[in-house]
Amino acid sequence: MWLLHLLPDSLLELIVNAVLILGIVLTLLSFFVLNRILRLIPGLASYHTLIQIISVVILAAGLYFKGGYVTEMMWREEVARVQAELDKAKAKAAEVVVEVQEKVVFRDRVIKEQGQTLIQYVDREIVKREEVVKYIENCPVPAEIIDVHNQAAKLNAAAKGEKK
Amino acid sequence: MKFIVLSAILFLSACVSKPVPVKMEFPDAPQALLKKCEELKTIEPKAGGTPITELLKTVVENYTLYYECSNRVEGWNEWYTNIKKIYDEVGK
Repeated sequence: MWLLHLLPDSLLELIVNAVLILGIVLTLLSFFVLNRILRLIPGLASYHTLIQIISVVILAAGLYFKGGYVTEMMWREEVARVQAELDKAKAKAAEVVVEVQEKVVFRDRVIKEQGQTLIQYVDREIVKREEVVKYIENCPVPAEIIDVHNQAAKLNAAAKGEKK
Repeated sequence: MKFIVLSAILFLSACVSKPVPVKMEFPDAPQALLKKCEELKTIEPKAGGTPITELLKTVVENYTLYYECSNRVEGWNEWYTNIKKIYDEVGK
């Protein structure tokens, strides 16, 4: 069957249609016309059934080829349509990637800058304020509080450990 | 004649639909979303107590890390929602 792919589509269609039409014509002739003619000729009357069988076989082959050809063409069209839609989706997806990438990078930068600004503000302003200096000198944060903070920062370690 | 009709049905029934052989590639995600979320920072306790400003700075740093991670999660959601919408349209 792969040899059929070497033939141009138009030639293939022509052959398929020719076989189908030949089958239809021969079948109609053999069933409705030829039997009347052959009855008149004594020697050929016995060939009537054989001609009918041959014509039906040609018609069946024509139908089979036509069905196969039409399905193949529809299938090829469907493949082309889906491929085109996929290419379009791929292009749109690439746009979404760029859009999301830019948005995330921008927000990331803003978050980092804001964080840095706050830390700089603490180092530059807060630590120099008299009441803060006094507070730092008189009320250092106890180690227990730092421990709880550190434990909270490592909460995910327990969950990760369970997974393994 | 019955034979012809039956054969026609039989031959035409062979024309069943088959799946379209189009390979669909999984779309690429933005590189910014592939970065792992960083671990939160801890404070090194100092002898004689840790200054409150040290605690404050670590908290600010951890908030920063949280929002960076949350930003990536939002990015994943946005990417997924858009990509799903685009690919759901294919073949309709």
